[in-house]
Amino acid sequence: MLDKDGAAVQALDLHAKRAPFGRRVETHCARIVLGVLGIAALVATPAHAHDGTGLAGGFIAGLLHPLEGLDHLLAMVSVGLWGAFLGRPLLYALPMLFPAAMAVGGAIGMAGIGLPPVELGIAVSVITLGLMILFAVRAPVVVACVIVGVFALFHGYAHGAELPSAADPVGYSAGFVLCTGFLHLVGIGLGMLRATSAGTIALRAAGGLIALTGGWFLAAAVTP
Amino acid sequence: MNGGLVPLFMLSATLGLMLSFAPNRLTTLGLLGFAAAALLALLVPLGLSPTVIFVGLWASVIAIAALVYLPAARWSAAIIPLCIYAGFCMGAYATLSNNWPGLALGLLPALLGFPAKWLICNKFDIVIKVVASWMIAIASLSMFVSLMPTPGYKPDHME
Repeated sequence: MLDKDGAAVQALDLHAKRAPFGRRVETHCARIVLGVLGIAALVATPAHAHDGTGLAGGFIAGLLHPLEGLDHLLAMVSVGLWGAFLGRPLLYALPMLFPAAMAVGGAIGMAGIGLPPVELGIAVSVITLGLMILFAVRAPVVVACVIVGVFALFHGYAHGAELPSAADPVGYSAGFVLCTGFLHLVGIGLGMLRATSAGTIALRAAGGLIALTGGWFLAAAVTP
Repeated sequence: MNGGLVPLFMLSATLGLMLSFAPNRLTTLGLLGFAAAALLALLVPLGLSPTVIFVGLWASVIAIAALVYLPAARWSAAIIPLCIYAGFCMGAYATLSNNWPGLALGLLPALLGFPAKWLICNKFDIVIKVVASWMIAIASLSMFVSLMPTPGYKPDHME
């Protein structure tokens, strides 16, 4: 379970063995994170993924936007989760890369430059990231960065084209990016469950479910 | 394009986070240069167009946040000019909105640099780097949207 790349998880595991209180705290944190994610997943519906016509354009609208679409929500949590599987430096490199690549995608979307069908790209991102977690794929740093960066472009493109310039784009952007970062942190928090073998199994099963959900998105995207 | 005080807070906070990597003497000098340049730009209007000011402000946020990842965040040759440039952007933005109290408030988040030094001392500098990446993303999106307005109300990509 432990290797050089999984230094963060190793540290966590050692910490848990030496400090039972710390372990209890981590368990409580993981429960809280699971609860928040569960509520977010319950309120999210793929059919209403980003109600594009209803963007009021403020901070709160931006903050809520990623939570309203299961596709983006799963992809962003998966980035954090996969980062937890990959360990340092990707544990924090992926969540840092994603917003930057997303901003580039957003600019491409705003400029109206064409990309392959965005909904296909987003669905494939959910499938791929889910599979990476399911099989606990230990991709090299560059490969992982390229995968996440390309998928972030699609997510950013979708939102860039929908970014409201009429109301408060600064507040909207800030809310949107902060929520994205929060979802990555949720994924990293869930990744703490790797400290136990049962937790690892649960996470990998969750990866399988995420990939299946991505397959559903893909089917919905290709079905006329 | 609006945002009220948010752009000022963002620029100021990002500058504070960047300065947290610098030695204490440079941090103080940078903050003083930042505040002095902001006041100067407020007192002596530069007559720049709003678009130039917005783009300059967001570009300074991106440049300052990017510096967090580089060793140059500890070099006076990089820090001091960037602080002065950021101060001019702050002052110009405040002049544009004719907001003196806003400028005074907007300078305060730069003091975040001092508590952020505690994070660095305790090897939690990654927190600052993650926040810097968010700042880059927000600033990039805001800059692009001010340059390339979008309808914003098109049907969603899944509709």
